[in-house]
Amino acid sequence: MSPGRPSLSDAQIAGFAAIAVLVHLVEAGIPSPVPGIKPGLANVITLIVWARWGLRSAVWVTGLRVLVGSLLVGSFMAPGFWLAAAGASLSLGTLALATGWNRALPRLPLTVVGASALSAVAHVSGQFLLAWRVFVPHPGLLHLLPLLLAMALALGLATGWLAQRLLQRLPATTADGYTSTHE
Amino acid sequence: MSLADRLLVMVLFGVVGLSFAAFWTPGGPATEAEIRVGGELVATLDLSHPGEHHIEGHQGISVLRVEPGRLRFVESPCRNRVCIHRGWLNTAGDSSACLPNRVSVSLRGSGAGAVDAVNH
Repeated sequence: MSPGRPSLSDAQIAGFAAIAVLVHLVEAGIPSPVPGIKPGLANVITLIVWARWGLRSAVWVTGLRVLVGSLLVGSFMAPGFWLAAAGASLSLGTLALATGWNRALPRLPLTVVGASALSAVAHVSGQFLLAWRVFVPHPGLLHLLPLLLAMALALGLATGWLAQRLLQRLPATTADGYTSTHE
Repeated sequence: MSLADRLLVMVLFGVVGLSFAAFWTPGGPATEAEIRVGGELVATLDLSHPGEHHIEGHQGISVLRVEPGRLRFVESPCRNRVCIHRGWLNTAGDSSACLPNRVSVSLRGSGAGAVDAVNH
């Protein structure tokens, strides 16, 4: 979490966004046993970028993923897109908080696991708020909230753990902030 | 997981627990029961009037007992007696069915907390 850490180049951001879009598309094609609950594996990419290259790069990768993903799935400007955007905004907001926390308290750092759990809960809260206030303003929807939050916490911990495992396997960062066999 | 992670996750568990406490309300009390045979509504029973009701199904008679605010199958011409083992139903949204006899019961309530259906 050093302020002087190199961020990704535009091409690298596009590359990570492309991976995230791919994961997003594959996940969208797999039916979920429970509607409305999915693991959010594309967020693993966001978390990896956040943990290694900082908030700015993670915001770009996530923004591109939501935009391009919705264009490819065909939900751009449809409710699904706004739900994804609301979820992504709030979860990026909590990643910003986590970045701030780690700057303020470098001795007590949050890792990608905690950040993932927090951002997953924020993601679902953002989606829920939008769905409840705008799309389905019915009090009965509130009864779903506890279950959605509990699933978000569990799945957020799972994706955080996955991101941590991947980060351990990812080659260490070099001076220019990125190692690739192609460069 | 670092110490901060653990603290954060504990807080998040607390938030989820609070949301359950605030919003997770089981269905309210049932006031009436809808009886269906083969999907057709044949009777609506008021759960404030105790008694026994004999429902003609596809294989025989299913007997329903009503007590104030609750209802159960007591007799049915089926083999597994799933409907009877379901026991008393007292919550709006609860349901039970004797599939061989095609007799199903679903409870309705009114007022706050009334739900349309409960799945188990």
